[in-house]
Amino acid sequence: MFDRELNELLRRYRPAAPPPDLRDRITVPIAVRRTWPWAVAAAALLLAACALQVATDRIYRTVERAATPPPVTTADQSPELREALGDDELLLIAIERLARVEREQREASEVSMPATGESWQ
Amino acid sequence: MPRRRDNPRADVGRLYDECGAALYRYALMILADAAGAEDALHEVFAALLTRPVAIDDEPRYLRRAVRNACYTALRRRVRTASGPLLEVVGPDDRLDERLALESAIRDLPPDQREVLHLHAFEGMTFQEIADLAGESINTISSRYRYAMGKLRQMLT
Repeated sequence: MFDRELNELLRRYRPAAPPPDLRDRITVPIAVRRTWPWAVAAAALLLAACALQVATDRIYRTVERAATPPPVTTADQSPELREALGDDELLLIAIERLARVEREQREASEVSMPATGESWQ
Repeated sequence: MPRRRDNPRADVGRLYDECGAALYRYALMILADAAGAEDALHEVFAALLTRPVAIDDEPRYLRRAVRNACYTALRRRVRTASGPLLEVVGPDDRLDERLALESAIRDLPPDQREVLHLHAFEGMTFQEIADLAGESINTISSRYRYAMGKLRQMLT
């Protein structure tokens, strides 16, 4: 093949054109396409974490409130009760004892409750 | 002081319309791979989107950027070539002739394919190609001569 023929052959062809959709693939916001899914995912994750934290906190507080027995007020701890009972030491001792018995009974009944998953039957 | 670009996305669209096809053809001839050429253009235009400063000589800048992207891709290339390399200019597409020419061009080294493209298809002078490639004019004309010689040999 001569140079002239080769040049003639090359003139009949040219490098192929880009595919028609390449423009869209290049100019449709690449940066946005790359950045936004991460930003949205990160924001969603943060939101979910916050919601979970709030929900967990609320459940903890409810359980804590239910699990904690009300404080037993004794005559020593309450000046109003002491004033109402007067200065009778024997009465005070009897009331203290009654309160202790009641507290021990309540604690004993909590201990004897079935563990989680155990049948009531 | 460098000018800031007001709307990079609009700039990218305009630049693609002005230079996209020529840059794709240039990348295609260096890589001899359609998918690789698309990747090279994608890389260059994506980088352009994040560039806040205006470019003075855009076509020259883009051609250099595409050239760099292509040679970087060649260095880490693992896949085989894909897609058509040539298209017919006139109405008469002889498939066997086109495939033979494509095969011969694919067998050339990338730097010879580049010079062949710039000189034979884009009509650039050897001096212009030498400036672009950062080589001497003798090197460029030798590459062209080798390329033509190999093509002649392979097509005979």
